[in-house]
Amino acid sequence: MIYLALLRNQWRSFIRSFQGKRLWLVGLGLVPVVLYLVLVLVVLGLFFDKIIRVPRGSMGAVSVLNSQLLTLFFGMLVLRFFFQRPPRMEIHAYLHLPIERRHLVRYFQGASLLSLHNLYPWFFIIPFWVRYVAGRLDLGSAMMWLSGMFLLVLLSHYLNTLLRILVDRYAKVFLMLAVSLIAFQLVDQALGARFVHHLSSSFFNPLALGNLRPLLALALITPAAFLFSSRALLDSLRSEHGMTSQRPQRALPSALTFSLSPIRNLVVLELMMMWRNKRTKQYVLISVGVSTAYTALLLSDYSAIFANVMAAAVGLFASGVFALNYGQLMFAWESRYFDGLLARDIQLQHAVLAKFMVLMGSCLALFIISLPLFFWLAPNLLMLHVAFLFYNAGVTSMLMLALSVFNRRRVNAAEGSFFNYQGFSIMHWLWIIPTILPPALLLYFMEANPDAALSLIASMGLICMLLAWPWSMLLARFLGRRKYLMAEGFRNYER
Amino acid sequence: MNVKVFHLVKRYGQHFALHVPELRIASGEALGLVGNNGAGKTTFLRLLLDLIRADDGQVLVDGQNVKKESGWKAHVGSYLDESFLLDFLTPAEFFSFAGSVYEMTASQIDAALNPYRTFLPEQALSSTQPFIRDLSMGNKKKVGLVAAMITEPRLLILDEPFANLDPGSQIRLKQLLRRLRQEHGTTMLISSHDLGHVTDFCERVTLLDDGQIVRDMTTSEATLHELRSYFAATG
Repeated sequence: MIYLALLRNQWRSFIRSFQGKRLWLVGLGLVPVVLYLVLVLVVLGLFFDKIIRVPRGSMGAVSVLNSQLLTLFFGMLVLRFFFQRPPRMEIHAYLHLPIERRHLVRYFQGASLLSLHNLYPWFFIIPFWVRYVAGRLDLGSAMMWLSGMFLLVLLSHYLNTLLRILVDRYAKVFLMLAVSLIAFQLVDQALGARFVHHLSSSFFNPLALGNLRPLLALALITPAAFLFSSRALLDSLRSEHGMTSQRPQRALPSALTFSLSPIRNLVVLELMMMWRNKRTKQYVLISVGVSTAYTALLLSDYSAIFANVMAAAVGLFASGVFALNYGQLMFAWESRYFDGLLARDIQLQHAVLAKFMVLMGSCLALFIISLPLFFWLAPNLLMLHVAFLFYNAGVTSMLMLALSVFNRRRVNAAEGSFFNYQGFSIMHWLWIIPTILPPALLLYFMEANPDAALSLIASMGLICMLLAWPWSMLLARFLGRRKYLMAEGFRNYER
Repeated sequence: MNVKVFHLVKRYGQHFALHVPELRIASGEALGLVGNNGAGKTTFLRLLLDLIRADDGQVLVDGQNVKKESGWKAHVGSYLDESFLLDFLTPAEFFSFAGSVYEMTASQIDAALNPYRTFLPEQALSSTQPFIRDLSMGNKKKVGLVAAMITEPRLLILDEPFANLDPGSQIRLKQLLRRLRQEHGTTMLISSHDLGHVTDFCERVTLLDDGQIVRDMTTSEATLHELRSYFAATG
């Protein structure tokens, strides 16, 4: 009965999470993406030997995959760690009720298996198994290999739950372990030792040959992970760990203290808000980390980029990714205390200018961070990088600020940003068009004279920066008219 | 600082959330606002602070229309709810920010905090401060109330200031509010469900019901009894 009641509540929670949302809009954006990802996995499973260029042989594809399984397992664990909600978050609402905690833990451990993370690997595993394992190995070995994959997925599921709980208690130890593991993997690759590959092969190849021992090992480790994670989950329900973070706060550096300069104060406030809230902080880290990696990826084949509209995307992305992502919700980040800011003696134009300065600063910071990549990988594109610094700091920042005034959906900056689209609407995806179109058109139509095109792009940004005072005044007036609607929306949780 | 309200109307659809034909609060006066849930108290306070758009009418603070001008904000302190807190700051940082908005120097803020040190939670002013978001509900409220008071406003607007506070803190808060009035002649508008505190502190009580002022009385010994009888009959 208890389990049935819990199941009913979870179903209601799932169904009601869609209520009030424009499902067709969500579907329009999400369905093609999901279908694409599924297709990629299925195709990869079916044509693994061709895509990975495996030499022909009876065990070729299987042994290649076996040598990568350990790396894939850790990759899956990392994905789960960042994207999968641990069951603990759902248990708390039931703790005060007369339900035995071990029943709650048992239920949520079971229910948490209904996760996308346990589903998507099978879009690859099953086609791969059908194509390369089932037909080529005897049925017993093929079934054993499949069972091994099943246990591996299950193991990563419960190991993730365990890690999520342990990381709260032993954050530093966990960080050291993670760094050591990454360092080990990098050194292993750099030295060409391929220790991880050999370890993976020596464990999973015997499984494909019908050896029972690897399967038995997995069959022992997986229930152990379940038991340990259940135990840790049960303990964590009584722990106060993670409930508060009353860590002593160090005094702020003098550059980050409030003074009598209103715009400077608002810039400091924005920076503190950005760094002390989970979602905004993740935007900063993602912008620096992922954008740098992505820029490196794009630049590694730069010959195909220039004299092409893609150049506009590279320029926009390299120094403007933070303004593009974070800037869209510039006022919504403050939705939890928007009323308090409105009630205080803060001029709206000062608020606009402070936010503009933060976005301009982010463009400069990302420009500097990605500059070595341009020097190293594509020195020919240095001028493009410089031109887009001006464009992003002036035009992109201004356009994003203008867009953010239209936002009236409450955003909780304290929540994580992974798969969190709170505050975003279809308009935010479309806004990229007026941002990228002018430089893309200039680069396209002035292909014969790229220096002139880049000069024009930089000039547009410079003009916007020089005219910051008048346009911020106009935007502040508009904000003054919109503030009631924004405040009303920000007071309400997403319906 | 005086407040004048004329023909103030706020509608949600066809429903009148608030309709106040006229209300005047004299400079230095303490007005208590009482009413059941949904009576329109918070709506009224938000309209006074220009946080929601009125469908009709106007609010004048010292003759300034709150919708059209912003000079009045420099003299008004307010705390309605947690949205008035910047919860990613420590209490000291928050006081520093709140003071800086009102052009107070660091030493002025420090001096202004002195009367409130016994009211604030110990941890709020210690060298190892938590963020405001890590404080209990009552302590958060204390931080918000103090931030509204340290600027020594000429008009103070508070919504449910006594709720979530322990009895000792409620008494201390009343003392602090009295001190503020005596020293700075602050006009006060206080909304509360605690009839005892309202009648004890405010010399005038206005009763809202379904968005309309149904009583506006000078506080006397009989007021508390009258209010209790009213709510007993309507509750």
